[in-house]
Formats: sequence, structure tokens, C-alpha cells
Amino acid sequence: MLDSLYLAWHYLKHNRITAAVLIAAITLIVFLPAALQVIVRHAEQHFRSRAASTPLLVGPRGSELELVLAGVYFDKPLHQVTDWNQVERIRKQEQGLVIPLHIRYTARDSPVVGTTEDYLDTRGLRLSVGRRCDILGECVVGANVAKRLDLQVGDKLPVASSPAFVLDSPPLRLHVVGILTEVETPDDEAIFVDIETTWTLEGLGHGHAATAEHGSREGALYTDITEDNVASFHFHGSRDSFPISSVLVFPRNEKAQTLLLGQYYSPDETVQILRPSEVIESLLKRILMVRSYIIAGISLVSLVTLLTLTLVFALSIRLRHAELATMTKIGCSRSAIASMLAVQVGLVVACSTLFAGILVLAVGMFGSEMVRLVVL
Amino acid sequence: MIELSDLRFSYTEGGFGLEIQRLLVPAGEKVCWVGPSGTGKTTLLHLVAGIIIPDSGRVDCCGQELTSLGDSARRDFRIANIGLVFQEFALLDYLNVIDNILLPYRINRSLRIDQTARSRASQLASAVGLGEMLSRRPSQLSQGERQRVAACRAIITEPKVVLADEPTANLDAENAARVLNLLDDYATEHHATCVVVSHDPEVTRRIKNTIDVSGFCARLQPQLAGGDKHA
Repeated sequence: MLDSLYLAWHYLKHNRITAAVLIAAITLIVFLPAALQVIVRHAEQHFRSRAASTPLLVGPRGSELELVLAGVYFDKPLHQVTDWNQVERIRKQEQGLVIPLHIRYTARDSPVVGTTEDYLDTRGLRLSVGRRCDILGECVVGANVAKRLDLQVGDKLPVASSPAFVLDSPPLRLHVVGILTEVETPDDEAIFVDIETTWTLEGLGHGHAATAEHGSREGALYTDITEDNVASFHFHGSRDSFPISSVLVFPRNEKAQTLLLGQYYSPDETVQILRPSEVIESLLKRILMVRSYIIAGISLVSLVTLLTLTLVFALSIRLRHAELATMTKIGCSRSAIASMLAVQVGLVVACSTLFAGILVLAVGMFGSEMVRLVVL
Repeated sequence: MIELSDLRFSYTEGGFGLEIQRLLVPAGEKVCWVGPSGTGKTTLLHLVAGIIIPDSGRVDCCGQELTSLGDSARRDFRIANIGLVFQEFALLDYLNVIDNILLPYRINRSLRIDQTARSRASQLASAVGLGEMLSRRPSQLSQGERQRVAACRAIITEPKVVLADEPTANLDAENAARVLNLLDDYATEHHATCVVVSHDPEVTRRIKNTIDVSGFCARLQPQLAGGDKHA
């Protein structure tokens, strides 16, 4: 066996380019379906755990998936909005915890999430540094946002312009007062502000010198909210009509959940209520179906590649006919030749499996990160 | 001793065959088998080595009747008793000089590489001027050097019989002489039987005992032809 290994190893070393190509091909055959499985499993876990931690979601009628992706995963913001009235409607019933969300703006490509302190408590978001928001214009940022933008407490973060502001009114700058610890959820990628701050971003509220008239030179809008000028900030219009993107509802119990679910079936309703886990399960079913097709495709390609590799091995044996004949003439047994060729194939397969294993392990270790970076 | 008696052999595809009443090479003899191309010299060597078996008759070599042995036993007999030198060297291009010389030890379980074998391989290589080239591959050697490596491989196991098939065919006079010297010295020192098949006049000049084997060649009718009996 050792002699077979010795001869096989020297043969592969001598034909290192051929061996490398074979190893690379087999590595890919093993790695691709395995990596796909690992990534999809991570994505499933990621989607499922987040959806499972959000019992009910209320938002404008339309695509259920878009509503869940926007309200639970802070994906692209929805164009449709609902109003604060919906929050009050659920709160009055006292069926559970109600958390409004306003997600329409971004700051340096990170979603600005207007919400209440309950959100941070419910999601178990802890501060690694700083404090929570006290006044308008303050924000706490997710761990990855802080890392990516190199933010420290005390930094200012300009929010992308609101169409509601006029040209001479530059966008509001958020004041970073806290940085959250990493939780490996979409919360790491978000900037959290009080919901009234997002209404200010909408142009529904503003601050200016107390004596100045609206639109006058002295009445120029503040772009930074400080403790000195925060008192001058005020809102115009009825709070009930102020926009929100969606409402997270954490019902007290199953009965409360059933009661809430039953309230939104009317065709006249402008909002819908849904269980994010059901929507995500439906999405995952489709993903699994697509995954099955992809794996079937990869398997087919793998099979063809394996057949090709078998052919390559067979041809290489044919090319070595003279060498093997010499060995036989000298006195080499058939089993020794078979052993040498088998060890050679075994070495190639073992190396490929090792490399594929390392790659799959790496994907397993960083799969969660990859899913968050690529999928979400 | 090599003795072939009442032997008949034929190839399936051709009308070619051998018919030998008796052919004897006494132990320790150096013999050169000559004859025109296609008269069965190499076939005869393969019969003596047990690589192929005759349709009928006996092949006795080193006191062993080869036709009574199975494939596996013939291979074991070969590795233990016979050293083969091929016209085209037949070296493995992925092994260096020392590993090519030690090849018989790596391909048969009856032999084990030990320090003695390694030392002997180095000594043999040094004796034929390859001492500084042990780590070179065949592609880095000249034709003469390759044939010297092949000759060393043939005698590394100290066989009782050395069969050389046109060992000098691709060599210049100087290299041919070195290869013949190596085989000659080995046969003398070990009292080994040495059969060389050759057209080379230099070989026939050096080996006085020359036998023309063309007379054993028989042109057979196709219907009489048997099958190949390779080991």
C-alpha cells in the first residue's frame, strides 16, 4: 500500500497541472451543492428567526411580501404608507404591545427607522456605547452601520434629502448618541430615531427662531436639533394623519392575536394585518423549489463532469499502457497496478474532498455574514 | 539453466509462430540470440520469462517448469529470478534514477525496500557513472544513461537470469560497451545466465556463444493459430 501510495504520489506530482485541474473540478463538484445548501440553510434560519420574532405586522394593503420585507427586514421602503390613527386604533384595544415604524429615509445608504423605545426593548437591542435618544434629531446606530461609516458617539449623520423640504432648507443632520451591540439581524444595519424625528424629516415638523415668521429670512429652518433649539420644534397638522410605514404588534396571548387578525378582513380596510412567519414560509417554499431546481442542475452538471473525469482517468490509463505493461513484464501483479491506480484516484478525490470541506466550512462559518451582506 | 523443449507457440492474429524441439542455455552461460527481424527473438525471450506461455511444450527456467505455473506465480517467479532489459529502456518518467532502479521492489509484495537495497542501488548507479544523477528524471538523461538505469533495474534484485532485448540498439558504441560491461560483469560475478537478443555485431563479437533462432520461426496456417497467452 505504501509503495502504491509512493508511486501514485510521484505520478501526480510529475503531472501536477493535470492533477490540479482534476482536483479543482472535483472540488467544485463537491463544493457547489454543499455550499448552496449551507447558504440557503443560513438564509432560511435568518429569515425564519426574524419573522418568528415578529408575531403580527399591520401595514398598507398591497404586497404582503413587500410589507414584511420592509417592516421586518428593513428592505426597500414601501411607497404606500398608513397613518398614526392605525397605531391608536390597536392601542385602544389593549391587546398587546404596539410599535409603530416609519421607514422611508436613508442616511449613507442605511435605513433610518423611526420607532419608539419599545422597539429596542422588544428586540433586545443593547447599547455598546452611548445612550438612547432623548430629544428630536438624535439617533442610535446599528453595530454594522457604526463599523461601516466609522461612526462615534457625537458624530453627525446627514439624512438623504426629503422631497418635502424646499431647496434652501438643507436636510436634517442626525446626532449619533448611541451605538448598539451586534445582534446579527437587520437591526445591525439600521439607524434608529424617535418616530417624531422621522416626521421632522418628512417636513411635518420643524424648528426656527421663535419670533420669526414662517418663510421669512429670520425664520430659516434649523438643520441641527440641539438642546438650545429643540423647544422651537413643532409639528403642523393632525398627529392622527401623520404617516407611518407599518405597525409591529406583539399580542398578549393567542386570543388577542386571533381578535386582532379578525379585524382586518373587511374589503373596505385600507390596511392589512399579517403573520410575517407565514409570509416568509411561503417565500421560503418558493426558494426551496428554486433551490431544488438549482441543485438538480448542479447535480446533472456534476454527473457529466464526473463522467468526463472518469473518461480522463480511463484515457490516462490508456496513455500509460506502455508503463503498466513494463511493470507487468517485470513482475508487477494486477492487484498492485489496480492498487496504484486506485490510490492515485483516491488521492485526487481525497484532496478535492479536503479542499471542498475547507471551503464548505468557511462558507458555514461566514455563511450568516454572507447572507446578511448578499441576500438582505 | 534455461531449457525449452517440444515447444509450439502461435499468435492469434498472425500466421506467425515458433516451433522448438529443444533449446538449452546452461546455467551461468552468456548467450546471444540472433536472427532477422520478425523471426520471434523477443517472443522467445517472453516465453523464457513466462510473460507468455506456449500452446504446448515445456519451458524450464532456474529449475522451474513455467507452463505449470499460474499468472500470479509466474510474476512472482519473474521478479525473483529474472532481470529484463528492454530495447526502449521502459523507465517511468515520473520517478528519478534511484527510484527507477528500485522499481521491482515497489511493485511486488515479495520484495521490500530496505537499506541494503538502497545501498545496492546507489552502488550500481555509481558503478555505471550515474552516481551524481540519482535524483534526475529520465527526461534529464541521455539515451545511454537511460539504458544504464534500465540495466541497473534489471539486476538490482540479483536475478539468476538476465534477459536483454536489443539493449544496445539505440546507443552509441561507448554507451553500448558500458551497458554490455555491466551485464557481463554481473553475470560473471553472480554466475548468472545471460541471454542477449541483438543485431549488433559488437554484441556478437563480445558474446562468443551465438545462436541463430530464426530456424525456430514457423509460418503457420491461420486456422492453426492459437491465442495470445500473456501473463
